[in-house]
Amino acid sequence: MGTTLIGKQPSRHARTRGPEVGAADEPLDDALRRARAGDETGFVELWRDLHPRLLRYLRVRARGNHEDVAAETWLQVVRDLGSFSGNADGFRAWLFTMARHRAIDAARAAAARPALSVPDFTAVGRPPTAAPAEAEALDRISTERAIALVRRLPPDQADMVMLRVVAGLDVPTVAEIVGKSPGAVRVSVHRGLRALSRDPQIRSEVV
Amino acid sequence: MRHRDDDLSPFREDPVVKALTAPATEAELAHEPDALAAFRGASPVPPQRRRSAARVATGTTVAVLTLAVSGGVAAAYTANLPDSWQQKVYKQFHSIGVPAPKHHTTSATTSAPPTIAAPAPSTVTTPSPSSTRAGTPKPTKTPTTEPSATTSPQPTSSLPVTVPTPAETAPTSPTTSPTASEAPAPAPGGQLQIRVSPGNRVSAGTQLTVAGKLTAPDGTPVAGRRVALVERVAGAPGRQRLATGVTAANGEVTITGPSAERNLRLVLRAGHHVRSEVQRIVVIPTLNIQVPSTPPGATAVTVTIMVSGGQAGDVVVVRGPGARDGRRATIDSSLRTTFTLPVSQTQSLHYRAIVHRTRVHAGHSLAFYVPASGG
Repeated sequence: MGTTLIGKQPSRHARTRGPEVGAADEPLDDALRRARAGDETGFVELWRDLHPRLLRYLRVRARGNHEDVAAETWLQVVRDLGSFSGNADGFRAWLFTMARHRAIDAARAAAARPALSVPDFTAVGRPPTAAPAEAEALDRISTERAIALVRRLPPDQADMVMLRVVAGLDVPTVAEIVGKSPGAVRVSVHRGLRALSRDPQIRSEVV
Repeated sequence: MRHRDDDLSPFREDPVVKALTAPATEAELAHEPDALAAFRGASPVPPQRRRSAARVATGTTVAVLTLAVSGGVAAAYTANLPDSWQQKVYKQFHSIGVPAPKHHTTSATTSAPPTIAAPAPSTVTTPSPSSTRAGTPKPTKTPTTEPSATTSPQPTSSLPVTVPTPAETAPTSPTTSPTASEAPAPAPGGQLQIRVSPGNRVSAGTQLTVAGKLTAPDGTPVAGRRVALVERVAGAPGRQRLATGVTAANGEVTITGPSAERNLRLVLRAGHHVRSEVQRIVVIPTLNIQVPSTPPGATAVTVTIMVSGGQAGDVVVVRGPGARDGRRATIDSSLRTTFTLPVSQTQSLHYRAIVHRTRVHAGHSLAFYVPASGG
């Protein structure tokens, strides 16, 4: 049985953009099976569903380096996919565990050697991105703001909130990843979400 | 039974949770081609295939077995064996990705030696138009033979994967747990070549440009892969990502690197496991020597030496008449220092200013002269 994060998710046919982050992932079992067999469409389905979640998680966990960490995580996924066996739930746990380890490594490397102010040359001359639709802009702003608010939580608590809410991992899996008891995870996530829900800024922006 | 997500039910309609779980945006999905290219470049293979590869290795000829035991298969995969041996290993292991001998391809480890860039000439300013013996730094061999990180030290179990994936999947795998990422895993196929322009020995302040080419194990270019230019710190595990680029259709990428203000060790990386060889960039400091005009009858003159590319505290040595053993002075924060040198009434006095090699730059020297004061 796949993980349903926040109740039932709307039908995929109703979506006009990317997949909803945190959606139920029973269909991903089939995509995972096809991806393991080398089917590109299966891999793309996996990536489209999980990569946005991964980016949002890493924007909290690996600040400023989230895209690189995500890319390295996916490279490890495609490398080791043939040796993976399990369902979509296990794959998600595997993916986010690898991402978390890489984020930790990146943070250690950054601490060991402060970053130089060398601009990313790919940003030079890059054409402006197309203006998103109004609805997407509103969603984007609220998502950006929500992630910024999660960053203000204590790091461990922010980690657990993102793994639980965005990655959609269940409590025992999150507990195993962060090395805490399931009860501690449940309480910490609950308190974190409650603190966020009471924040007046996010209410003024999203509502 | 209590649903495992019941603890989140109170927050189902919370605006923060809804924002965090909003549908993916186009920007978040923008790198799909990169991910797909990576997937195509590293075809997965079920574990039983790798086990069969190990059985092949143990059942083959003595020569091949010797290679396997000594780690030669890993070398064979990267085509680092002599062609004759590579051919033998290829016959036995081509099904698991060992490439054929390199008849026509050039790998990164055997690429042409780095070009030597002529550094910008140091300058000597003297009041006389007569010629000076400005020293030209001698090109030295810059070792770039560090083993590529793509060469796995593991035995057969770490062979990169290149064969198509059978439809069947393994019933069990030791990598199903979340800790699978910690298990030793095969390095992905691919080779990343690096070339630094204008060369590996450059004058201080030279803008570096790094070109790379990413190829799959079969030699085909890999397009759409993000490649990072990384600076490795000598003697330390740290490394610093400087810039990134994406490979073009021919697998090539050009990245504008930093200006060479100090010695550098540059590596290109595609993902976590595909790396180029290390390119050492040696910075040659530039000496600017100002010799003021000497009035008639003067017995001494103060010469100012500026060391571009040096660091405060670097020692400058001047050797010449009256200073056979060399006079020493350290440059200050403005990278300058001065020497008071004797002046002859009848002839020019020739000197040589020397900056010794340090951790951040190469050594360099420049000849200059103090004209006679008697006309």
